[in-house]
Amino acid sequence: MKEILDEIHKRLLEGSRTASRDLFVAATGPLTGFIVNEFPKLSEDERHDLVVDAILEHLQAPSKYDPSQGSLWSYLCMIAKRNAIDLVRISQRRAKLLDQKIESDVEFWAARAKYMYDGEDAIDARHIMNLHGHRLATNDVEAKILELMLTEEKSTGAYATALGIDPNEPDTERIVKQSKDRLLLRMKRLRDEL
Amino acid sequence: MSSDDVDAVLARAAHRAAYAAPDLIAPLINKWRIAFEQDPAVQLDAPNRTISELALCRRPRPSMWMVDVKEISTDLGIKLPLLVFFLRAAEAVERFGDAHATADDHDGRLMAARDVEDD
Repeated sequence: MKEILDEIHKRLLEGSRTASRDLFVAATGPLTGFIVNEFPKLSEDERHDLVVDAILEHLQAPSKYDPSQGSLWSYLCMIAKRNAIDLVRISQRRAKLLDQKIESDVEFWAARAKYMYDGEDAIDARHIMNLHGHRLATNDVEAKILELMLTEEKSTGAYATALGIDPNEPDTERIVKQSKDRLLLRMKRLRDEL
Repeated sequence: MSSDDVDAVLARAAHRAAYAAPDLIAPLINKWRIAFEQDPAVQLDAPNRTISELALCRRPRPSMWMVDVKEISTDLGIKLPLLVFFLRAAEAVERFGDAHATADDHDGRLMAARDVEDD
């Protein structure tokens, strides 16, 4: 492997157009095996992307590799491992953010929040509210509507009062539904983003 | 790794390189495919594996274009006239695309504006 990669690298530096193809053919399988051993919990897609990106990184600047520091094989492994560690850190940080508790009025609502939907569309409203309440409710009226939704208020009148409209007007039900749908859509988009 | 595995791995690498490797031929093949809505394998009279390998080759250098294309043609077993024609067409598509915004780009901006409005 070492000799093969070194030969390919020499051709890369000489300007060969097909040496890059040869590098992929030679290195992809073994590099994938390396990543599987070091990071067994990564998905197949993640492993594949890490391997391809390591090779591409080398191809973009082949002169950055210094043969006196070690073999090209070690160099590629180093790139792939570094990127895999970054990937794992990003995933862990993201999971940690969802678990963080913040002392605020938002948490007061969140403590009472339950799942908004059933089944696969279940949204953990508490997690979302802990971190992103300010993105879901952009003013006091929306904050009141959101509070009602999170406490599963069923009365249209309660929502109408929060909106500052007459509960007995013919359009009230439609306006209340629109307001709730807007907030539900934001929650769903935010959940998709997360 | 079996031959089929290698084919699949190279195809996936070529797909990723189409968006992440401007120095390789992969983005050119992608642009050609979008512009002409044809299969490069048919145009080049070559199997899909060869197209994946072509995608992972470095682009011909302007100063040594024909020399580089001959190297690729010989190494990959693609007929030289077909490869020359293909790459010239792909590069022309790329230059045209860089010089002019497409209708899709414009529609994308309008759609983004509509999303903001709906929210």
